[in-house]
This record gives sequence, C-alpha cells and structure tokens, in this order.
Amino acid sequence: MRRLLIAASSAAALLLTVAACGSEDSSSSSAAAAPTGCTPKVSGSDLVKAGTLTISTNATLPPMQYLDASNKIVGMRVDLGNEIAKLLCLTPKFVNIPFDAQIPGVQSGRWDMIDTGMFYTPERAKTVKLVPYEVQGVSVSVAKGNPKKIASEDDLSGKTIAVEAPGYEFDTLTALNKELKAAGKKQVTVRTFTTTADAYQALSAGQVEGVAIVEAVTSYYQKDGRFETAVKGMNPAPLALGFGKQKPADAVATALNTLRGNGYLATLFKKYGVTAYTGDLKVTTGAISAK
Amino acid sequence: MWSWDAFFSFLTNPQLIQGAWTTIWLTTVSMALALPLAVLVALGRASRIAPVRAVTGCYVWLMRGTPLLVQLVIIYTGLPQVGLRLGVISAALTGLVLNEAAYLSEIVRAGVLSVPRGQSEAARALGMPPWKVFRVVVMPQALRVMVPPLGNSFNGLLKTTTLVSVISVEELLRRTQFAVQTNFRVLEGLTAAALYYLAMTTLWGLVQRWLEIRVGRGHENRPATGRRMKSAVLELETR
Repeated sequence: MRRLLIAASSAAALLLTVAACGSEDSSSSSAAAAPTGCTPKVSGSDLVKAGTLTISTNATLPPMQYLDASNKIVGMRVDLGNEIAKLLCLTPKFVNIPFDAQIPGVQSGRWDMIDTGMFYTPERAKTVKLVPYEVQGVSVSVAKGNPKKIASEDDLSGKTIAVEAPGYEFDTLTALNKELKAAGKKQVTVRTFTTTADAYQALSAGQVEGVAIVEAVTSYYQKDGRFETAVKGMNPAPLALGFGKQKPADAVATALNTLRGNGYLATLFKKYGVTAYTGDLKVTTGAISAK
Repeated sequence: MWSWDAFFSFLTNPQLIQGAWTTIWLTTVSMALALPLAVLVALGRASRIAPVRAVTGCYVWLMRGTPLLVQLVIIYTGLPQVGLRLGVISAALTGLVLNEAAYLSEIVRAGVLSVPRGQSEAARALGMPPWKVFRVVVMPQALRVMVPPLGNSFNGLLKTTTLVSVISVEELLRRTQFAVQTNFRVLEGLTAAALYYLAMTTLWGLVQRWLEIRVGRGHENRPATGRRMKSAVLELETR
C-alpha cells in the first residue's frame, strides 16, 4: 500500500512538472499590460484566450522581429501587432516559435494571428485566412566587400546560397534555378536552414556565398556593417497576417484600415524602409499583385 | 480532417524517399566509421600507457558531456574560423562519428570487461601474442554481449540524424517539412515520416537478430571460444 502511495504521488508530481513545462508563461513569450477603459472588439469565444490577442512570430529576423538584449521580442512586426491589439482593446501576447509550426498552430487554435512576415500565396490562402499588408522582395546578403562580385540574379548562377526553408525565399531560389536550368546555366546550390540566423552564421563562417532573405533584413545587416546587399528586389510579393478564424481576421483587417487612414502604417513602414501593400486590406484569396 | 489521400501521397513522395535515403546513408556510414574508432578508444582507455588513457578518457568525457547539436554547429561554422573548412556532409559525418564513437567505446569497453580475466591470461599462457588474444579470445566473447547495445545505438542513430538539419543536411524529417508546405497536411506528412522511421528500425531489428544469432553461435553447448579459437590453438600446437 505504501509503495502504491509513493508511486501515485510521484506520478502526480510528474504530471505537475509536465503541466508546468506546458504552461504559457515560458520565457519565449512576452505579454504587455492589459488595455483599460474599452471593450474588446473580438469576443472571447473567437480567441485562444479571452481579452488577449495571441500572436505567433519567429523572432530571428532583425529588424522585423527579434529578441533584444533583454530577451524581449521587438521589431517592426511587433510594433504593428501591439498597435493592432491596442485598437482591438486586447492584450497582445507574442509566442516565439519557428515558422514551420505557425500555420499548423493557427489552424489548431494555439494562437490567433501569425505576424511573422509570411508571404501571401494563393495556396496558403486556401489553408489560412490571409490579410496582406506589406510588400517585400527577396534580396541576397553577401560577405563584406562582395568578394564574389555578385551584382544580379544571373550572378547567383553556380554560387552556394543559404536560405531559411521552407518559405518564400526558398521557393524564389527554386524558381530561379528552373530559369537558370532552362537557360542552360549552372544552378544555385541551395543550402536550407531552419532559421535565418543559422543561414547568416553559415555566411559569416564562409560556408556559403550568400543568404537569401527579405530586403528589410539584408538592409539591416548592410547598415550595421556586417554584410552587404548584393541583389535586391527578386520576386516581390505581398506579406500577410494569417488567421485560423474569420472574426479575428475581419477585426484585424478593420484595424489595419484605421492604421492606414491615420498614417500609422505609412510612418511605421518608412521608419523600417518597408514598402506598403496598396491593395484592399481584407481577407484575400486567389492571385494578387505585389502593387 | 484526416486525409488518407494526402497520407498515401506522402508515403510515395519523392522528397520523403530521398530524405529516407539520406537518413539511412548517414546512419550506416557514421556507424561503420564510428565502430573501429570506438574499438581504438576502448583499447586506449584500457592501455597501460597513462597519457593514452588520459587522452581517450578526455575525448569520451567531452563528446558525451556536450550536446551533439553544439558539436555540429562548432564543426560546421566554428572550425572555418581556425582554417578548417568541412563541407556539409563531411561536417555532419564528422560530428556524428565523433559523438557516436564516444558512446560506442563504452559499449566496447563493457563487452571487453565482461570477459573474465582468466580467459586472456590462459591464452597468454598458451603463448598467444596480445593482439591475437584480443582478436581470437576476447573479442568473440565480448561481441555476444556487445551486439544488443550496439543495435540499440544504431536504432537511436537513425533518429539522431534529424539533428544534422541544423547545418542544412536535408534528411527525412527536414524533407517532410518541405513536402508538407505544399498542402499543409502536417499530421499526414509527419505520420508518413514516422512510418518510414518505423520501417527502418524494424528492418534494422531483423539485421540485429541475425547478428545476435551469428555472434552467439557455439555459445550454448560448446566452449565459448568457437572455431577461430580452435584453429588458433591448433596453430600453436603444430608450431
């Protein structure tokens, strides 16, 4: 009997530990203060947690979303997420998680919104609700001084380029390889990493000759002097916020329209050197243009 | 929600097949290279020369005491800074082999220790040279003990190879992640990948069974020494 009790209590302790590990207040997520004096614009039943806008992001992409020195998630998309939450009278809560987990997570109700600079594609629009809002082209960062003298898409032929995959940049390189092959040129050797940070690490170690990533990131590294931007504006496409449910998606689209009207979006995009999406800010499906 | 169509299309997806091949290749080659290294390390740890014991002991301590993930990143992106640039596959193999050999050396050591000292002393008394004692008397008996844990390691290594994706090797799990992006059927894709791993480990289970029977031959009724021992003794007698 005593042994049984010990077994039962240790099992209970184990369960408690597991529950603690699974709790939401891990160090990788951060929450701001709750807004006061307003009523939430999205009802609790349409959210993962009532009164809170739970947002997933992959914080490895300065200056768009990254961890600052105090381990806080910051960046342009975080500013945007916070501003949207404020307008909806919700408390923003960011969950830092790799991109490949984000679409399954929003579908299965682990977070309400994907805010990680996800590219809009018609295929994606079939699986999650997408609200396009900014435009990014794919650029290539190279080592300082551009030792391989890469200046155009064609110059990438025969080079080794690192990229975060799966994702739009990876698809862009795959498409470029098809073109190169059709033109009878050497293809790009694509090295796929799980995060852009890993890809840049490979570049600084000289294991690859470039990193393909959205322009905002290559410009950031160019500004801080670590890497140079060699190629710009490949395959420009809209980026979107992603949702599992219609109501939060519509509410955020309305908030985005307010932010476009009051000039917040224009100021934010200007500060980070980002191009705005000029089409309708709403849940969108089918093919759309980057303009 | 579950789609059998998606599941079956993942099972025959060229991405997954290619990834599975990379996984099998990495595991087999790593194991084949790690085993001889492990034997050397185990011998080194039993050596009478103190510096050899210290170096091999330190190697095992370091490799088993740090995460493979860290070792891989250091080999791939750290070593170039000191002028040693390994390609992706060489870096992955180096990491896997160095790490696995440390664990395997402990299995080899356990196997060797399981053979009673009297066995090698008796063989030495018969006039066998030390290397022959190891090869003909100790190893055949040690192998019988070593095969189950070695099989365990091979099985584990099949799945440990997923870690090399951090240095951009596209093995089975990574390829599955790519394949899943076309239709976001995550559950179906991962289940298909899990079945691939299960098939690999099952296949390995059969190989291990065969190995166990092979190294266990002659253990039940005859003296634990086997054919090679007899011929070695014969050779000594005819001298």
